[in-house]
Amino acid sequence: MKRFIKHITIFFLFAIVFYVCGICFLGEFVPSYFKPNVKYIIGASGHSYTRLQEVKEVDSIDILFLGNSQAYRGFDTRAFEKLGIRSFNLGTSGQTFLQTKLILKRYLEKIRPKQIVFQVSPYMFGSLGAESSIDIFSNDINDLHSVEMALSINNIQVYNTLVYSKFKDVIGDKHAFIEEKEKGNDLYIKGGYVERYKMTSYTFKDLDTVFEINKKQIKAFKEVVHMINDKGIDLVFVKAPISKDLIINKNILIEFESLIKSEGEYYDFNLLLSLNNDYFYDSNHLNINGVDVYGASLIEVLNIGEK
Amino acid sequence: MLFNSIDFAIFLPLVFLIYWGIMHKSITVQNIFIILTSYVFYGWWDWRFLFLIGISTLVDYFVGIGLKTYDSQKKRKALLLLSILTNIGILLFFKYYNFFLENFTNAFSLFGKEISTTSLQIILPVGISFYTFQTLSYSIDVYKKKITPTSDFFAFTAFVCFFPQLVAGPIERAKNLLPQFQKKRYFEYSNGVDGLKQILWGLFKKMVIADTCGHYVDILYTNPSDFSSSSLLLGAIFFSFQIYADFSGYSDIAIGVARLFGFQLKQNFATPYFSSSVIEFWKRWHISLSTWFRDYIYIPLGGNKTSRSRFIFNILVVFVVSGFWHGASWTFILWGFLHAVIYLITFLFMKKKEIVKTKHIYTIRYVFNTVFTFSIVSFMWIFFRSENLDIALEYILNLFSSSIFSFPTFISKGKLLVILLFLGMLLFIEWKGKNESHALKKYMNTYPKIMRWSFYSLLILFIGVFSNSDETPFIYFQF
Repeated sequence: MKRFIKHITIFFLFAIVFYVCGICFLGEFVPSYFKPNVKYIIGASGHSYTRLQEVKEVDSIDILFLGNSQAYRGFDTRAFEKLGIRSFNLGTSGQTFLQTKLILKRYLEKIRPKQIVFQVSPYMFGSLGAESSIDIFSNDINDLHSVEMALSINNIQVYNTLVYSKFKDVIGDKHAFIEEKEKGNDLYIKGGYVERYKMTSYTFKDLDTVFEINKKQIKAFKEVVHMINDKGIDLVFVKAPISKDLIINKNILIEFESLIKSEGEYYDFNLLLSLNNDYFYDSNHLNINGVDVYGASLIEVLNIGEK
Repeated sequence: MLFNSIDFAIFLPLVFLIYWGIMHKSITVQNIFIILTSYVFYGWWDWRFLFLIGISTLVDYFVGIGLKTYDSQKKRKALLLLSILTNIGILLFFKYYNFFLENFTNAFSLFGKEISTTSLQIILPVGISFYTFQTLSYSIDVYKKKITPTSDFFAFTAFVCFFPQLVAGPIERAKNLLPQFQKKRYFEYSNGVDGLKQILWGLFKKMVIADTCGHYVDILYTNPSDFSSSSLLLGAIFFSFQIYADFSGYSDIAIGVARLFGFQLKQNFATPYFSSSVIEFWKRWHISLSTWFRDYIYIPLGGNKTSRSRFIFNILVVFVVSGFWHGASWTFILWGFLHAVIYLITFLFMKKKEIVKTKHIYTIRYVFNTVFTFSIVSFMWIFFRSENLDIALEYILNLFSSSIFSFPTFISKGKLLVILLFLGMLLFIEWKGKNESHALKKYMNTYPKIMRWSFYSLLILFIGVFSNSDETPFIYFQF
């Protein structure tokens, strides 16, 4: 029995080394269809790489924006700059509370914002954000917070990508990467905002979504709020306008709102603004006209002009 | 709890260490520990159905005791009937109630009579078809005096609920497994290593081959008319490999896990796709179920030691019942029936020598027969996989058209290449180990340790790189 356990232990150590080397080899040398669970996406849609590089230079700002693509495509930092407000948009693709937690642990101390505008949506409670984690791993330098998040998500793609991303950190490939400011129809604006400057056609149709609220996300959400409150930062939750064609299950919406309202000030811009589909480029995202209207309304709600 | 889950990856080493480290001093303590862990294993999925295993266990245990106590034929028959009614009753209610009700209603409506019935929202308890058959065989064997009933309650309970094979077999016989619960188990290094090799191969088959093929099969079977003939042909082949890799993978893991605890379970698959006839296929596919039907239905009906017409009837009964065992749907019944027809054609027209031969001479004829058998079996799987007869018919009708010569549209060339490489690897390794109890038993045994370890690590790497991010249940769980 002792011999068995000893040999198994040695074998597992061998297998771990083999596995890590194998992931790095596959990540470097084989096409994507030979490595479906290694999803390294540096410079993917959303300009996460540029944003996560820029945030390292940010220090003591007035407003920090957080959230998913509705945040980095919805909050135009230039509108705030015109009013003398220093802001930064730290939204990332598909960001859920688990990813917000990682981002804040990594950067909050340095950014030291006076206020956080946290764009929230029911979807952020729905999944564990595997895709979003992969996006952050691929576009930022990884540390122990990355390992903690990977363990919370517990997904093989997330583990593999973390291993490969760490390898890329070590060999210095990420530093050498240069991301285009203009990609497809998107333009990265200094401060973290991504402008969809070209209008594309999109067929709006009824999209009814049902999902379950994940307990791990509730826990992460409360930790995020706790972290922000501990630093004495003013926190405001906002829900971005979405197309009326996108229907979210009523029960989920009620549960979502009760969770958010229990932790702070909350504004649903679907109630404050009544925007038709002319203000959206797809069911979830505002176009440039929509962003202007949304920004102006947010400035009014936050009383920024008066301050 | 699924074998391919993180939960099980934690559960197994923990249980293994406690079993051999703390519980090894007494058989009874080990058996009680097995019962507890088996109930936790099953309850992880849904604890509400644990009582069904409990009922089956209690009834068959006391039926066994009763059969030993009473000599009166009348009383013995009554006891056997109690066991049959309990086990088959549980199975009929949970698995077939809605099927019978629906067909009963439809039959009445054919005669212009509408009757109102209420179907129940019944959840099918995982593994119900397996453990009911296992306990039932115990009562029948005791009744027939083939085995002596046990009075060791813990050994019997552990035999019924032994977690490696509880939810999807192999369906064990008391004659083989029960005595193993009544004698002291010793840990053997070679058994442990061999068990782990078999588990690894099973996981590779399930998580890499079955789940990868399954992804595309699901797409094709949702709307077959949307795809070209070549796509549907490839889909039919993919499903053949999916179901084999899924179910034989499960069996490999179950047998391997049992070996870690000092138990030897029956071989359930013996490279069935290398069979050169449908008759041979059935000797190699899901062996524990085939032999169950042989021993408890086919032979009691008279087997082949009877008139030709009666023999044909017996074969039809066994295959139709086998189809129905898989699920409460006409697709399974038709699948079973068609297999019976092919079986009979083969039996009646093939030379006896060809049917019974166990060792092949690998000639062109053998290759042709094997490919032909695989094609027939793959065709039959269409009925097995389809949601209903309409989908099966749609699939078959669209399978035969001029688009058979076009490139399949549902998959990219790169992904197809990956799957074909894995299928080639599966066939190669299974072929090399076709005479062993599992494919990796002697595979690479003569190579240096570093090569063997690298190969096993490569399998782990493939599992990590190609498996689904979500844990996919085994197909046979639904039966």
